[in-house]
Amino acid sequence: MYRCSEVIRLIASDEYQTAGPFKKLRIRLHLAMCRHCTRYLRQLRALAATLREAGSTVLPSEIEAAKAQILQQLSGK
Amino acid sequence: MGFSVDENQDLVQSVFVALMEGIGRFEGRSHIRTFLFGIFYNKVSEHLRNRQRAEVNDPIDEVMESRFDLSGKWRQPPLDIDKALFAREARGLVRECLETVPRSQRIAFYLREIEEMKTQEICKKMAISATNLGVLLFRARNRLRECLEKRGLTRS
Repeated sequence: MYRCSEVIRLIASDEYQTAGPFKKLRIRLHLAMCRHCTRYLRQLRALAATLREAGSTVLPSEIEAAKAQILQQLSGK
Repeated sequence: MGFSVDENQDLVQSVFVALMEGIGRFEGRSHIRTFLFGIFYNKVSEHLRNRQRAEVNDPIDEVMESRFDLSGKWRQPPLDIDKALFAREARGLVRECLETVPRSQRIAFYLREIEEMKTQEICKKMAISATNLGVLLFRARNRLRECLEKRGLTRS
């Protein structure tokens, strides 16, 4: 049997996707019995869905930094 | 007396304010307690009158009436605002939480979840091994989730 920590690691690191059928079954079996892990994964999925709706992970601070860099280069010439 | 805590506090305060204001009119012909009780009595009945007046018509009653038809069915059912509010709030928080995720983890997460690229493509693009990518994704996802949990927003 997998432990909870292993199940979370396997799924959060996408190892589940590339796992063989037997490994997948063992993970699913654990999830069927463990509501904490199930909740955890549901939250990870919701997180991704929220970000997909938001559309971008570029941070405002990074945009500002890029702007500043471009301005600096322009004024340098 | 059937008043709420707030009402009680307001009443006590207004009684003492009235006492201060009216103390000059107190001629000492009765006990000060009687005088105080008289003020109290007036304040309570004044408050009750105001409360009754307030209860007669409140605009929210008309709003509620317009929501139903004559047979009592919803004419204007409630909108599902809680979901929309949650989504908006969550987006803002996720953005804040993204600030805590290191750049390489964020890129991996972005390519995987938003661009929905395949693992191999991402590895090629980022020039890292599949194991490395797994670690980045694992850390990015958990970091974000922890951050949201701390802010008390993850829905279970």
